[in-house]
Amino acid sequence: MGATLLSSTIAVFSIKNLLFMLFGVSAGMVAGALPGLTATMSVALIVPFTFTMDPVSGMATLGAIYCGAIFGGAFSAILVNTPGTPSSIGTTFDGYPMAQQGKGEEAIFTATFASAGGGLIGTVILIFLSVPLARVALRFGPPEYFWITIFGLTIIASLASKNMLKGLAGGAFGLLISMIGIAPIGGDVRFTMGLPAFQGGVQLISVLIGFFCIPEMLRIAGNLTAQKMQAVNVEKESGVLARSFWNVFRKPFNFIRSSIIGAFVGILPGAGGNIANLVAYNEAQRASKEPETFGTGNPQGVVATEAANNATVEGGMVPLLTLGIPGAPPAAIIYGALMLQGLRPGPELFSSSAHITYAFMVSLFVANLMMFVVGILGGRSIFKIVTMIPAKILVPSIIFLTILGSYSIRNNIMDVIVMLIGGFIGYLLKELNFHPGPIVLGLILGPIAEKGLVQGYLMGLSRPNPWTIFFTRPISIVLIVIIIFSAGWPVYREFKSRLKKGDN
Amino acid sequence: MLKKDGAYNTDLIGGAIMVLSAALFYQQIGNFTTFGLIFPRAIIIILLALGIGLLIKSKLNPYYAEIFEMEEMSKMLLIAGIGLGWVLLLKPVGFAVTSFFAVSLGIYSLEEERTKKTLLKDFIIGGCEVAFFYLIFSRLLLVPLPQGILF
Repeated sequence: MGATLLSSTIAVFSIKNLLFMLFGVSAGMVAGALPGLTATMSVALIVPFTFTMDPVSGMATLGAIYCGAIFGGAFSAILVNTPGTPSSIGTTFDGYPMAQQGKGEEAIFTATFASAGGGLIGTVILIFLSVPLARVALRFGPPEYFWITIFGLTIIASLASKNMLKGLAGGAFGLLISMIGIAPIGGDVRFTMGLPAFQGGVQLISVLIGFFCIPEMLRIAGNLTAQKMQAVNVEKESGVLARSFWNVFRKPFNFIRSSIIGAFVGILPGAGGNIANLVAYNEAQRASKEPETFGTGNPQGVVATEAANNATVEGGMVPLLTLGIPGAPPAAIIYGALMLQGLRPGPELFSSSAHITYAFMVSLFVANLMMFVVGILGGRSIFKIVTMIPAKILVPSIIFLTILGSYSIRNNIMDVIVMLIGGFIGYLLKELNFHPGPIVLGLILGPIAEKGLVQGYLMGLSRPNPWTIFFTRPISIVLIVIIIFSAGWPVYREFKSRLKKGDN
Repeated sequence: MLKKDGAYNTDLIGGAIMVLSAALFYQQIGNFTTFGLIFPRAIIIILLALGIGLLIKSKLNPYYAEIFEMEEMSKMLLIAGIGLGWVLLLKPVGFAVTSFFAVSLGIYSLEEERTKKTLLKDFIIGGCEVAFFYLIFSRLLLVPLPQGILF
């Protein structure tokens, strides 16, 4: 392995490959920053250009775009409260409050350090642990997937610990919306309200953009006075770069834990960055000595989500390269690109084309290093541009981009309508003190939870009581224990703090 | 009580919305197979229970908050109205034309001083912005944007 790794590293470090990767990282960042342009879309758009490239250059370019797009989502999440990709949902929780406090640049740099670092840790895991981890991933069946999603839903307890009923109701509301369309098992057409356009379900990204972005744009428009003509506050401070560096590395445990969570969730097919960033955020809040500061602009929240979502990119490559199972949509496109290059993902890839496989892995490492440089330079420029644009221009422009992005996902007007209606509902619910996080969480986890539950039930039909399958498998039992701890901890902490307040 | 000192009982309104949503989804349940029904039925029951929980809380320990409080409500409504019109006219009128007018009028509606000069300036900004993204998406990324009556 050592000799192959060395020769692969040399192959990656050609001027041509480095330029392709630089282009990939930059283009991916721009695409990720635009709401509605997903990582999947950006990787898919570049695939035709890689046909004529040699396999190492082609795969390195695609990997770089994927990394850049996942990272790029942080820019819009921090500056305009709109996750550019679903992997950046958690970044809005603390990134946007930081921007509102005039610390937008610090938030962007913190995200850059965390994303690049998370990606590097993910790549190390991919290179050295991919084969044993793939074996672990294979042991996860439908019951385990069901419990994983329930574990994801326990994040509601952290997000809405001050208003648990509303948080839970929001989560259930999101789960119900996720069921619109064709059932994952059984094929029933459900809850379309008589509209044929809903048969394909509601587009997650459209609802996501609507719930996070439209309420914020309406709020800015409604509070636009002569004194507040900028949408993003700017606080002139020196040493932002050093402070951002320390945000990540002062508490290395949060950063490393989040990266490992990201890499592991990425390995599980179907999970990916959408879940990883929220799980990492939840764990960061749970482990923190100041959990109440999360959601108010705590940089550790940005570190957790960004380290995790970039580590999922490399995590997702584990089942793809070792088993031939693409765990996420962009990985599926990379699977196709590998096939077009004459490579067959799976165990034989490491023997028949080890040189290219390891070169691809090393290229992800290099892409993350590039992302750091481009992120620092590009992040500063994007921050300056956004802060220079007056809010009166920024608000209609952002709405324009949300409409353009929602439409471009499936070329469907209905997605735009859903986005806008979602935005109005999100605005109303926000005014009524419903946090948008649990609703979106329900929306993301709904299909995975339902599939796990129904498939698990089908598996259990051979038993006298089919439901026992969810409580008797070893990994399920471990997950149930973690869920009880994860859901109970914020409630216990809130109860304890209320008791303390009562004493005082 | 729905309103107290200008603040609204958000638990009451939120609870009512959740109960109504559960009822709406329940009413939509048709001849689903067992596999298509297990999960939604459970979630509808949970949502209904949580909605009722919120309604009970609104009586026992209500949370009051001022809602829709803004410095310039008219500007917010204008932007919301423009957004709605934009989306509804996107297909019949076309993406480029609708977006040009919507972005320009959106900027104009947020101006401190609305004069002919600012209107002209806003139309130039809107035109440049829409043209830039229209060309990228329709020509470079080949996204088939709605054509409408013009282009």
